[in-house]
Amino acid sequence: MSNTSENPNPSSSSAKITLKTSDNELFEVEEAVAMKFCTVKQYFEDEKDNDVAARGSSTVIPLPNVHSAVLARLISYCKKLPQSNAVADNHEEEETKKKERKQYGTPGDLVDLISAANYLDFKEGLEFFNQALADHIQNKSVEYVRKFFGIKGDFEPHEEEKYREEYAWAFEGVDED
Amino acid sequence: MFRKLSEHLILIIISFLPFKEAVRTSVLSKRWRYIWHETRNIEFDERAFVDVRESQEMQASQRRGFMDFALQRIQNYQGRHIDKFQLTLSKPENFNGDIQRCISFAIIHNVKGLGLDFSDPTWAEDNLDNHAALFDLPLNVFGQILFSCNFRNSDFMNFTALKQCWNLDHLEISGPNLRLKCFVADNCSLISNEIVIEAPNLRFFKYSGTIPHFEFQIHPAHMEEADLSFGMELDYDESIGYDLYKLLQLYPIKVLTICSFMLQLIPHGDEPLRMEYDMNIRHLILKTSMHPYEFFGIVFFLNSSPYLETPTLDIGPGRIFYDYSSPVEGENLDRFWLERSIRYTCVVKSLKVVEGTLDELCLLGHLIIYGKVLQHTYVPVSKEEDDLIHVPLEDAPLPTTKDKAKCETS
Repeated sequence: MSNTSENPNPSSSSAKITLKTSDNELFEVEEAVAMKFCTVKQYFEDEKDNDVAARGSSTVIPLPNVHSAVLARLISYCKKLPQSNAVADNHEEEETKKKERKQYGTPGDLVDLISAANYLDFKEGLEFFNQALADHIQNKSVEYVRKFFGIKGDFEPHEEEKYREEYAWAFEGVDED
Repeated sequence: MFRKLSEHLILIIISFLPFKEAVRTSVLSKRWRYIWHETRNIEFDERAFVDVRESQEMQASQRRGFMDFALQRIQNYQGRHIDKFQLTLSKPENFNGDIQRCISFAIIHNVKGLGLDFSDPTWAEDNLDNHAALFDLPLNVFGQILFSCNFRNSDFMNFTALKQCWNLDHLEISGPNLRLKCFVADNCSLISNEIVIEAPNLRFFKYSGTIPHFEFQIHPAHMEEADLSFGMELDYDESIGYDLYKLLQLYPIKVLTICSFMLQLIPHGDEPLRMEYDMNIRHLILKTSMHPYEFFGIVFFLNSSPYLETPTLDIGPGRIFYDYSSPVEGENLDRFWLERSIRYTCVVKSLKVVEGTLDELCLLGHLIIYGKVLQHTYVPVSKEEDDLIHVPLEDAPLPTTKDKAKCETS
């Protein structure tokens, strides 16, 4: 029986957790940040239940679905979370938030971030990056969205025409490309 | 790029799109054709279907087409959870059963936000001039009962919004474990004149319309913000002051928005000059026309709110009741603020920000002169001009304000 097995204090900012990405990079992150990722949190709690030494930096948590470049961005987003997650209550703030969302790059980057946030079960991030993606294709035509995301239209022209006809109301009021 | 995404993930992305955009994803490619069917963000809006320039018959037929689309979608919905369900429909009286079906559908799918908007786009909302016309409408337009809005025992809802629900028979939202956090009822008039809300988790409450009889059961620790507006109330009746006074006693709220009607009537409640105990308000938004008849109401709230940090004066037209009688005799309303020497606890101890316009210079002057810990004053000249000029208070001849204090004017 170990009397040194002090419970890692979640509020302590000094506690670190090591995450290992798909390309074998090691990230030492603050516990408060790592706990935003429910998948990590769950892993951590399971380990603790199994009475495996799960104290801070002594454990390395593998994240086989997350690339280091993506994780680095998620962590940096996490660190500025408090202000970016506040509810926008006026137009100006909404614009600021939109600009902030724009910084997260190309659709490809965003898709990687969404995919990772989904895997990590990181709710705020999932919401944020999805919103960023939605901003990009807001009010855009089908052609624009296809080009933007690199989707190849595979309907016969008459088929597509029929489907558009079916929900014609949804195709009104779309911005010019 | 999307090839590596699972359909599950595509669905998540679609669920963050406005509903109309989600529908458009159906023609992106074969793979995307049906994924939107399970979107968790459902917004049925008749405005996409009904053209108000068409004849009434045509509109009725378009509206029927809209409702058929909505019903078809909910009947075939395969998902388990919905984040948001919004129904916008301008002639709800013709669709009682369908609306009930939509609401049940939303509730069965554990909807987190439910919005019902029954406003008529051909009527301007929030326009006082228009309200007269509204009440002149032949009763049979809205004479029949829309439906009874009853969300009894519907758990999982965080947010409910009702808009322009005239002649709603009865409004009841209750349930022992209701998670409702936010309730908004805009421009409501109720036949039974009764709103029953039993929501232990309610945090935000907004109501505008005529004054109903409120029956509230909330948990005081949770309630944070209320916005009460009775601009649709046409009668001046001092006994209402008593009801308003009772209504305010319910709340330990921090943010309160009140209307001109409240300011004129509240001094006619139990006590003319303040609540019998201190209110917890930090931010007070006064929708006022700065008419002298509202002054006692303003004093009432300043007196009752020793922890007030930010009073905001939101100037607009208010319905002034000319049969108003002053709750205190012999007061010269013209020189009201100039002759005030009472120091409100909040002004001296906690007031940090003042927002208002130049029209209320007397009151602002009063607050600035006595505000010992004042940090900011915002005085935009008109709503159109957003640019505020920062004037640090040190530069202004206001000796009582502390360092770092700022004054904004334009």
